Amino acid sequence: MKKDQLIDAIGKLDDTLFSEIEASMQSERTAVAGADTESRGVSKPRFKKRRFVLVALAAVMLIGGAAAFGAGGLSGLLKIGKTDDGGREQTTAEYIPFGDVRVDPSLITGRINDALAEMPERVRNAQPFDNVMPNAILRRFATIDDALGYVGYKNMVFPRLDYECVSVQTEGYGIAAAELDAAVREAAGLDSEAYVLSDVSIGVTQKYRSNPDYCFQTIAYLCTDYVKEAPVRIHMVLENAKTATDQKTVNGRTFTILRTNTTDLAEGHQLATSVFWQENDVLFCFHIVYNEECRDEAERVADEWMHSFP
Amino acid sequence: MTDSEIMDLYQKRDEAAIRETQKKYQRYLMKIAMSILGDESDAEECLNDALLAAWNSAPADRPEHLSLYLGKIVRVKAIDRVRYNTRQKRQGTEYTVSVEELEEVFVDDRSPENALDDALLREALQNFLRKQSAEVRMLFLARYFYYRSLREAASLCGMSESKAKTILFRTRKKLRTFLKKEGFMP
Repeated sequence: MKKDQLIDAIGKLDDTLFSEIEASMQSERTAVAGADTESRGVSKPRFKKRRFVLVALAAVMLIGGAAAFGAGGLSGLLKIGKTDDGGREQTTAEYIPFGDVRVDPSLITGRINDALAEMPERVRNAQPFDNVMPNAILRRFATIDDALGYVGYKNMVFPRLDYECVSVQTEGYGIAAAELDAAVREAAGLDSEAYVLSDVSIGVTQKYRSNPDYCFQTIAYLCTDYVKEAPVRIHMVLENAKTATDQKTVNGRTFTILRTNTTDLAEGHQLATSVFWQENDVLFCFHIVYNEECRDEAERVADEWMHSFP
Repeated sequence: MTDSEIMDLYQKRDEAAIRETQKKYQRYLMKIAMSILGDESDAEECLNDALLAAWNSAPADRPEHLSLYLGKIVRVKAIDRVRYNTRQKRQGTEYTVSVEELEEVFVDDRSPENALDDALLREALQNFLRKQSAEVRMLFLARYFYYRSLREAASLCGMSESKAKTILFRTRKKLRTFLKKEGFMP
């Protein structure tokens, strides 16, 4: 057999085999969490220290100002900005909680501590072409309870929704990228915006499937940090996006809502709704991507998430 | 504009079909071409070739999923181009890296008596992939259809790079065994 025949055969595979990967690629285009590298559409929200926020803001020209709502019932501030990425104009959205959401590390009691303890050794021994980022912990779980147990922080609660659960995972980051050997850092594609061991960010993500074509994600983050003035935030980068901000009060909580229309993405992935909330030191985010026909359904699911808050 | 409306334009031979296709899928198709070619001007040329091919074939075809239909055309055009380029100079793209991985699967037997029917190979490959879990299938296609880097492919499938690497290694080994069993290689 010639290798070209195999390559060509892969190129002619039946469309039905692509259903999962196509759904994943749709999700990737606007995913809130997942890829560490920025992909088309929305990048993963990440914890940023204030010093990084300040650096970023210096380069950001705010458009339309910040969507600063009144403080009553709201948990944070949503800032919409614009930035230039090598000639490509990008819209940024940052959700910055009002409160100090840092968690005392001693309150994190799960097995994630074992992995964190191993991190310095992993960093010391990291080689440029290792397949695992030495400063990251990524674990997948069968259930959300398993994931929350792994973290072991009592205030990290999760709204439960009655949809097919696609995946549950935790992500943890420690050790500043700057502490890694330069060759390792470059090979791993890590930027300098990373974390020291005492500044661990932990995210738990649950992906659901609300219908065969569209997934949505619910995410909870926390951050341990000994450094003062280090609030966390969710940072999203969107290309050619029209944005609209909103708020909705449910059971005394006033959620911040960001609706985006990213016009240069393929149909079916253009519209997205993100909802933000911070409570008990944990930052919560809901994210759904949809097209015009599914607008009502997406809004209904987002509403359901807000009502399902424990 | 919906896929169906764009397909109507193709079938009416309305050149707006090309404009609407570019508007909607340019970035998606460029990503595929760039993953294979690694050169922007080559990728743009490849995209133009693909759009022309779509224009020429669309009256006969009315694909269910326009994005995948176009993606497959771009993939073919880009691979043709990289084969041409590789004859002159080896390219360091995800395509060549992915192809090197796939080399574990086959023995390059060029004897005429071992020439195989492409359609049968495709059928066998489909049967093989259908027997794999959704996770394995996704990873295989991310790496060997879309030529995503190992890191991107792992991320698309929600797993670590090391896990993705292990799964791909095992899958290539299983595929090799399967193809031998099916008589596609000695």
